[in-house]
Amino acid sequence: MSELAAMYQQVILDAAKHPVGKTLDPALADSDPSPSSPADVRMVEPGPDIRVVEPGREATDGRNPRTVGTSHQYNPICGDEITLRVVVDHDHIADVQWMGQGCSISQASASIMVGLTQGSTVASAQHLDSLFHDLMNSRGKGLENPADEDALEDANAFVGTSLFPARIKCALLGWAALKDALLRAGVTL
Amino acid sequence: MTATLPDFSELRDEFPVLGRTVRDDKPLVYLDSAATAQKPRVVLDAMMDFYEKYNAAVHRGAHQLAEEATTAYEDSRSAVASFVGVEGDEIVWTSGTSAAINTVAYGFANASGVLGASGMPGASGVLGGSGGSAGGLGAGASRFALNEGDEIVITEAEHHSNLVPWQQLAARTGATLKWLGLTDDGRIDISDIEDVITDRTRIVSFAHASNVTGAIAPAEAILDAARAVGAYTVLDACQTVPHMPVNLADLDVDFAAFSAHKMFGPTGVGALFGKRELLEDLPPVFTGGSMVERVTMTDFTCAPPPAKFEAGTQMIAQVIGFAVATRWLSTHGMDAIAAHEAGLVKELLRIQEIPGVRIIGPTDATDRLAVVAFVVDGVHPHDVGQVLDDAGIAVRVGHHCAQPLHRRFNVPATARASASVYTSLSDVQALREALADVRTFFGMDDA
Ligand SMILES: Cc1ncc(COP(=O)(O)O)c(C=O)c1O
Repeated sequence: MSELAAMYQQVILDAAKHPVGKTLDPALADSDPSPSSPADVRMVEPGPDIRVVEPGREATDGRNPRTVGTSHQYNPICGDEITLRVVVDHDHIADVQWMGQGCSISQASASIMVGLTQGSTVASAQHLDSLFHDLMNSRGKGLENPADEDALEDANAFVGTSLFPARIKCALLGWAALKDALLRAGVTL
Repeated sequence: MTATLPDFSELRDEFPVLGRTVRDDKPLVYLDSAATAQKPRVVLDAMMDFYEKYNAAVHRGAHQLAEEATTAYEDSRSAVASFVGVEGDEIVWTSGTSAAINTVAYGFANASGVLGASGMPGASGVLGGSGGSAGGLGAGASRFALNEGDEIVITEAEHHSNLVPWQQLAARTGATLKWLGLTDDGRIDISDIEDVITDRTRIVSFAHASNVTGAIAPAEAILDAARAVGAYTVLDACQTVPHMPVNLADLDVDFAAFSAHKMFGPTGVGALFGKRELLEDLPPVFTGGSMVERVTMTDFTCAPPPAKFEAGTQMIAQVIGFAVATRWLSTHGMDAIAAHEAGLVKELLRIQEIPGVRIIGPTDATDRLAVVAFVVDGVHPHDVGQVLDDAGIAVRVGHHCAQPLHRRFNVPATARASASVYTSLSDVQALREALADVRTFFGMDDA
């Protein structure tokens, strides 16, 4: 397989064409305050797409039952942008949606990331984030541990991208947005 | 076109890097000369020669090496000056176009007193030097002072290097930044020039040709309008000087900037042209060694220009390489080079025959350089660049340091192919063939 074909694997081309979770309503993104500090976190009302917390749970663990964080990430080199909004329900990612424009790598990576993290625990999302960074630093070698590979599922396809230093940032854009959005939702990472 | 450059293949052989292969042994097709040009052997040799045979600081030592280095350094100034039709002492070495434009913008800021005039002794400087002005601010500096209500005019096509320094100057002085817009085909719109360039205009600065669209500016019209209101003119000539004959004296601009690295010379050096009497009055930005005449514990006088703008040990090898590059260009002849590239423009523009390819900028060959920015419908420029790279074709992708221009055309980024004296028709052919496959590769419907 040529390096080019290794980079643009079919899962990536498909994800770029049919992105998952690229449904964020710009009005919703705008309505969120963009907190200048992670401490400046907002609570949200349950919406149709937000899982309702079981009554009483808020009280027992003393944490915000449902918080939202929105992050806007921009790559000044190529102009790619992603706005991602995450709703955190206790230790879960209750909802993640995004909008943006950019190259197929940035779009596909955000899409696959959403597929992996939608509904997962925050801890699992953090773990995947660190595995994905390892993958992007692997210079085409991929992850060593098969269990880690299994965890990343389709995101392993970006191993080809790790061969092209100029494109690694594209693949990381969505992940950076998720991490920042989680911080803005008050999650301590 | 080979009729105008009869020894074309020999000329190409003068560029060592063009002989290499990339991405699994594919011949390099270098279409990124607008970012930086490749260097002919003579330029590389001249710089090595300096280091091997007469490396020394200039204008300082009494020894033979210093003498040889100083002669080469100053001869280089004359060579670069005559290449653009001006006098040697009107050329200031800078690190490049960005530094040259900043030198002018900061000079205006200094003259306006907004950088803290206290650090700069005024015209009353106690030394009252022989040739130079006292301190940074000679009596003539006030001609450059800007105030609230004054206006600076640029265009929407500018490289950030000819935009941000003026934003900064406006912010510091209270002056207003205005600009000429662009037409839909990427030309500078001068239909409202009388509304934009007015009695309030103090500075008009624009690119002689856009590094994105390749469009050559209607320089005469803009310069006439600027002169009619007594504004200072600044020309960002770094895209035109390597590709067509440019005579700054004939253009009658006040200041101009260009970079060696875009004209087959090394990185790290460029030139600021300024009319002699303006360089006399423009305050320096950097102060220190070599730019002074007499220095006491409390004061100094400036050396006459151009030395006044060249504080510290300069990039001597690069200056020498720069001059050799201009001599190399003159040997081939700028008319012949322009004619060769005019043939390439026509071929490059044919990419618009490929389904889904749209050119951002003029689609006709008149008044434009062989710099063509384009988008491919449904495929991001970064992905386009990656596929071309896989075919050994080097283009640039992104906003090319011209975000406002891209915003004007509602595209976040473009791919850009740019040709040069060493570009062949087969290079352009390779681009067209590879581009024709891009939409298929990304599974676009019509493909
Ligand atoms: C039109 C234009 N102006 C200014 C610059 C800045 O030149 P440099 O990077 O050599 O300072 C460039 C090149 O990048 C350019 O193309």
